[in-house]
Amino acid sequence: MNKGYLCLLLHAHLPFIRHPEFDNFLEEDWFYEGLIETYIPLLNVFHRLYTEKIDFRILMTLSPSLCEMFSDTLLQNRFINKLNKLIELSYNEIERTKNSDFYHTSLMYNSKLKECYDIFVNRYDKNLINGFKFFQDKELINIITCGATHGMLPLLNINKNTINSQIEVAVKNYYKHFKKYPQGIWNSECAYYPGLEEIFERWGIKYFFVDTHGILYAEKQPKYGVFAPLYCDNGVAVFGRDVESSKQVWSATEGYPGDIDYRDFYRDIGYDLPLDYIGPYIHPNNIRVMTGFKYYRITGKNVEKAPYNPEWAYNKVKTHAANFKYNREKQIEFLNTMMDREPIIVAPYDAELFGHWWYEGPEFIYQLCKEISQSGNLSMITPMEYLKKYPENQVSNPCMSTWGNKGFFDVWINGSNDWIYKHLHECSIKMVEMSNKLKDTSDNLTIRILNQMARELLIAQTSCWAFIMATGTTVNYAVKKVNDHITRFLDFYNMLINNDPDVYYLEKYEWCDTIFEEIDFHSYTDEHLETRLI
Amino acid sequence: MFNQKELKDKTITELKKIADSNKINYADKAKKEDLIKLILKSQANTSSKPIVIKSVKKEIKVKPAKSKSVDIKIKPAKEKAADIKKDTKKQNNISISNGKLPDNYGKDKLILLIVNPYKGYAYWEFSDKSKNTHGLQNKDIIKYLRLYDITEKGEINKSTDYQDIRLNNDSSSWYIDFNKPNRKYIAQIGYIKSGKFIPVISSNSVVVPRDEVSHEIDKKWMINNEKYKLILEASGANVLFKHDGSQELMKFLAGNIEESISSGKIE
Repeated sequence: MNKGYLCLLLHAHLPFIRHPEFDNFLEEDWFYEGLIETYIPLLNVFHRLYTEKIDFRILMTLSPSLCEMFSDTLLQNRFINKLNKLIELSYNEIERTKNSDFYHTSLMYNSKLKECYDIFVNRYDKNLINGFKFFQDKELINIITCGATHGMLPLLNINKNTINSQIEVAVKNYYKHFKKYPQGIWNSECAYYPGLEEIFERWGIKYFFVDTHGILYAEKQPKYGVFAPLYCDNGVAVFGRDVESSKQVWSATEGYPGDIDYRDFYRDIGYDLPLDYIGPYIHPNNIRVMTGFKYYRITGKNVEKAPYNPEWAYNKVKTHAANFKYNREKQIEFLNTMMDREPIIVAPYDAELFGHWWYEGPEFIYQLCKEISQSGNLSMITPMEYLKKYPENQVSNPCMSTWGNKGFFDVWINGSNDWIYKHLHECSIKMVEMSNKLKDTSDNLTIRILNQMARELLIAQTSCWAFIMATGTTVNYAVKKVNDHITRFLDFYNMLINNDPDVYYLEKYEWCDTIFEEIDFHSYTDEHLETRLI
Repeated sequence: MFNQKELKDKTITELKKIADSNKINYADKAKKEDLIKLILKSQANTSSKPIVIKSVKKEIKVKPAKSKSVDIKIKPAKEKAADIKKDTKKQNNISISNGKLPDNYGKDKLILLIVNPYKGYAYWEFSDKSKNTHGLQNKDIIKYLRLYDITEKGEINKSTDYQDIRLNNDSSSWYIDFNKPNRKYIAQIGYIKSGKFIPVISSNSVVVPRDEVSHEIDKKWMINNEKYKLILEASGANVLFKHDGSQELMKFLAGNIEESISSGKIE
């Protein structure tokens, strides 16, 4: 019987934000919100599917910076404090909403938050890596990597060493967390430039992804469109994003997440309730922030928001999951008439779409996996499984592309953020210069400075800063992050140039910017461009 | 309390620790003499009691100057793209306590980046040596960016295919229109002297991506035209770039909130 495959890919990433120098730091909340709304619920979905013995396959990117945050003790403990406060608030909310339309929703929050605590503390011992690793070891999910700090590689490509470092650090960090090497990569922002595959190959990476036009505009006409991988000249495989499945979820106008029954993102008691009540649960100094307690449904455009009804939303999720599966089945039926092999449909999404933005998203994934497990012609697959089945593929190099708005680099290089590249490039050049010059040093202090320079540069390279500057929210923070990490880098560089190390300064930023404890500045040396890991 | 001599005997690291524990604001690259002066001055003003800062790991104290960042980040961010440039400049002054980003790095450099198949971004700087050699400080010298199409010839010297962009005197970056996608370009910046273009700096070369399906057919993997059209259509070839990106969806789900102060989710 003819059939086809769905490769569902969830790309999980957050920039490395960790501020030990403050008791409370607003932007750290992005991580805590992600844990409560996306990462813990996703793990719980995997857990439910696993205990119900439903076979499924999900491909997940866990970006190295996110892995470093998952495993960071400071953030873990701060999260527990945060969670305890929210559980306390949920009890207050049950009292407050008694005899109102919001009562059921407040009960839901209370039970979900308690479950969250139980999963985080008791099931996974405060480190969600344990959870993801568990399901990877069961071969239900497959974890791939992404640039060490999610650098926009085509725009950082001032020298190969810089690109090598983003990949080398990522691959080694993956090993640290998962005790094996990654086979695939979701390159940050799905960005590709011709030649990137050389670096991938050197680090044992067998496949990566591009957006639809990356495949369609390949060097030679791709016989199967985006429904089969291509090989680059060097044998690394590349898969392309499917437009149809993407649109069903991503589209602001037609996509599932905008359904009237789903929970509204905006109305939050952090903004709506009086300060004397909500004060203890928002940012000190009474700065209003999202608490996650939201009681309305999307309802519709230009109408008064109506109360959320968890049951209606749950029913809608089931309908949407069935619809998504049905559409893939139809797609496959059609493709079976065109192709002389089984098609693969690659559907990548930001993981945080599920839960953080689309509150019901994790449940959608649960229902979808369940639906597909009963399908006649559709199965879930990972790229390695597909390549094993179809090892012979067309050789054609993909086209430069990203999955950003308009398909190229307009989001990451425009009047709001173009100024960062001058600094990022110059620091890359300086980093390579110093690494080559001092590669044989045995002076511990010099090594520490070089390693810290690598950390500062990597954090500054995060593509999110340029993205935030372009979108216009929390711009000041993104600007400050680039400024701070670049100036720290330059300070360290000058210490080496002037042979004037400042231990105190070094200790301070080793304490603040702790990412990649294992880092080795040699990843920037010319020698490492020749090294192979596997 | 320390006297000047005691302070002089201390290392710079010890002085910084003293300064921190007394909440004295200093530049990260402050010299020993500066720190001594600051500490002595602070001791003179004994009326202002040193504020004890919450101690953190390894006695590293939080520098007061850093607390500014709190003020900065909690400001509701309402910038529209057009205003950001301006705001960035303002930000540079406020937020960098330990030294501002350099305006330039004193090198001869011209970098060309691709924005999309039709547009590129170039930024540059000149070394003092080049400025002097070519008299670039002279306001009468008009600088041009010459963009060569080197697809066929492979190098500038042989290429007669170029376009000139007249640059503003004080500019250090420029958005460039590429004539055609899927071509290889390289740029130089220079000036005209006696009718001749004198290049001062040269860029990296870039190959601009194509904006359509390739005309090259892979014989080994050929299928009939009709079928291929259908495959392309099924792959979304007719609707590329027409569907929303994640940004649009997130804005929609966030109710297009402008007043939201935090957690604008990022990709």
